[in-house]
Amino acid sequence: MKQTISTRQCGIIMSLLLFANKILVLPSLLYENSKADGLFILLLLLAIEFGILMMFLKIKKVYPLLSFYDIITLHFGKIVAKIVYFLLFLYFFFKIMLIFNISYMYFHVQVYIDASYYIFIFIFMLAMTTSVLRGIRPLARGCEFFYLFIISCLIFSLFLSVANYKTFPLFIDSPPKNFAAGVFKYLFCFGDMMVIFVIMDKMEIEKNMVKKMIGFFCTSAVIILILCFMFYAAFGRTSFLYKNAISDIITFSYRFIDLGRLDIISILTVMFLSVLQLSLYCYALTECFMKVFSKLSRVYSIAVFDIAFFCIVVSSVVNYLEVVRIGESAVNYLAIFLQIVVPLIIFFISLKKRGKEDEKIY
Amino acid sequence: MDVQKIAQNLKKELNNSSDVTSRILKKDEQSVALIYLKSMIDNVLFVEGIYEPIVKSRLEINKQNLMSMILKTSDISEIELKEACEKILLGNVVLALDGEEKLLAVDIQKFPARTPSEPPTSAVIQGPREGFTEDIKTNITLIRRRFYNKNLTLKDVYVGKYSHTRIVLAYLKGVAEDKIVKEVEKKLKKIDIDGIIDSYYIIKFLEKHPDSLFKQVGSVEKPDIIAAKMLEGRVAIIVDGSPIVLTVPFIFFEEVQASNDYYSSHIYASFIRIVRVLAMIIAVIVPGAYVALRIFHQNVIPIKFLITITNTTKGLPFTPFLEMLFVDLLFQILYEVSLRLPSYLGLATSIVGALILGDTGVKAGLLSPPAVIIIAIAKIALYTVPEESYQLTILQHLFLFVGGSLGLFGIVGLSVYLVIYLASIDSYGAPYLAPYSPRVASDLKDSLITAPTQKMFLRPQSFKNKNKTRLK
Repeated sequence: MKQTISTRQCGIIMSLLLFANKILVLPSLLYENSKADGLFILLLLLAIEFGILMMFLKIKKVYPLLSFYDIITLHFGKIVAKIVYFLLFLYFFFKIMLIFNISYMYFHVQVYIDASYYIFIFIFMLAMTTSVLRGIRPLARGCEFFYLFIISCLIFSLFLSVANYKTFPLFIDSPPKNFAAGVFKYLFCFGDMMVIFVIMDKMEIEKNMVKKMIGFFCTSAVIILILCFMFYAAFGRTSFLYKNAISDIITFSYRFIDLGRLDIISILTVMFLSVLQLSLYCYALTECFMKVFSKLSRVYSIAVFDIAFFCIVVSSVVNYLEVVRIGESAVNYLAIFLQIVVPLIIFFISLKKRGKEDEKIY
Repeated sequence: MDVQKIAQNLKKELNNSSDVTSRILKKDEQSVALIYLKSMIDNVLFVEGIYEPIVKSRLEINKQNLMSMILKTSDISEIELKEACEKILLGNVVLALDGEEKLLAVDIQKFPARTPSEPPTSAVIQGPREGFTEDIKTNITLIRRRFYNKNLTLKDVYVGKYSHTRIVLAYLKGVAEDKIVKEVEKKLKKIDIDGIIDSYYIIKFLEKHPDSLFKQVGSVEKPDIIAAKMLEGRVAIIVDGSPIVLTVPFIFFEEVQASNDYYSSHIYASFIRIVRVLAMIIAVIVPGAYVALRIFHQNVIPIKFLITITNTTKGLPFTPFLEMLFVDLLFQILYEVSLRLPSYLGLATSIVGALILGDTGVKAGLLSPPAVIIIAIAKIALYTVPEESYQLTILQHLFLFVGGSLGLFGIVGLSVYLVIYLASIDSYGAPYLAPYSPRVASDLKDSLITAPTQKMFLRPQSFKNKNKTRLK
């Protein structure tokens, strides 16, 4: 039986994925590139992400029962659909590597100073494999279960960061050229919306679907923007030195020194977030893999992923800077195509076509 | 057939067991054979209701007269010869008459049974104190007297090749979903086992995931709770010989609810439920988290506490993980001993365990005070939800092992895995983690935070029931 998820669960998945990469390294990288104007880059990229969400909602309304793969097949044929899904597979693989490396770097610096790299590989692989094999419904319910805890912890962290507020971050600080370059350069950190495109046929249509999805999007976007603002306000011109935004805004405060390390709250939050995000990305990746190689089951897909992930992680990529460098160059072109071009094309087609008729023909 | 022969055959069929008794009464030209198990009948009723009336009767002894005029008992039925053995085994007196093909069965079953008393694990400060007993008739009565309504429906199923145990399905017609009743009945009828000794024997047959650590069938010892669950649309399964009545569908959060919650202020009930959930989290995670902090994340521990830990653990022969395991093992041994020892020795065991082993262990340099305190807190916290203590004990050890080998991140990973696993379980259509995952808005009124009864308009929506409205 096909597993379905509610609109609320889909919104929660989107909301949790929006935090990927954006609450740790991104504010620092943006400052390095465009000073405090990094906040505007973030705002612009989130606006693009919001645009993609609106396109998703429109496409879902027109094709309520079809998967993204079916829609592409319907209009462009099977080969194009397979190519797009193969590219999505590569894109999700890169995203997994990025989240894994950033999380590893973060945990290693904060709480696992002497721990082996293999501990992280083991935990992440086990969590990803088992949750993917259970299916999207338990995974979505798991996200729903932890959502309130994660959001509360993030808000609490932001609340504590008020004690570190020093200066109002200066905006309009960098030349327009840097600003434009920044938008392009850090596009790879976004595009989390692609996961919900891949699972769109599993989402049940409910009342207030649009409102609910926008609500979840706005919750995450506001938290990310406030975090970035507080980060720049706390560290000013030295922001580029701090790579773990959500932790650093709490850690460097003399006011809480007697209470011990309060950043344990953000550490635990990032732990939960990273496990859930990687599991969701891994699920989307196996979905793509199964569409490209239609004869393979999910067990085989996840086995292939595990082997590839282990080999690549152990043999070459052990440094998040390396992954970020790849992201800033090659992956960005892939991101533009997959995050913007493909949804835009499908969106315009959806505007023209009457979905129900198409489904009958299909 | 000759009554003497019938009696002989029946005795033979019952392997001439020493408690099988037959008596032949002769009056005029008519003979009556009484065959019964003397260990299973009410002797007074036998003499006053069957024996004496037959002997003293002036009427002709025939089937019609026996049923309507002579016998002074209420439960008389006409049976075939092939049913006789089964009836005798159930505590009936079987009467065979000369020249009659059919027999009569008089139910005067009686065996030792305790009276309903308050069950030790479900004690209440206010509210009903009755508990179920091992006698199924008493248990049915305890439920019946809470529903003076024709919709209370009981269905009998007999399970067990040798035990032939009576199992009764009880539900409210028009409230419980027929599909669930049929599914339970089908599952019970499919059981082909030698015997059912207690209701726990059938739990695994009713579960969708029998290999799971987590129970998917509710177990209740009090009739007021069963009545409340039946009003929610659940099906109760009463097993003869067991004081535990089972209920389906079952969700995890039911274990956090206690009957006392409904007999006190809803604000206090909400508070106490939050405490219960916190206690469960403490019981499961704290030992593992403590070991993880000591092995992997010493830099997270507040400096003053770290100094205390360092001072108290100086010179210990064990690693933090082994030390915790050692203290835990001591507790488990003491727990097992205190369960099995006679009560007069229990006090002595507690003194030996708590004072001598704990205090002397610390002084001897084998254990550290933080480890003893952590285990003590965790073990006490386990019993805030006694029905879940077995599952929580296993989880506690699992988290201890993961915390000791993978640190805090391992604990987080295991928590996520467990939640996703639990989210994949359902019991007769009820998602195990409802009403939180998936969120069922109306059921949140009786979850961690409870609303007053006059605001609970709907029955639980986490599972199917026929009549959604409970309050207008």
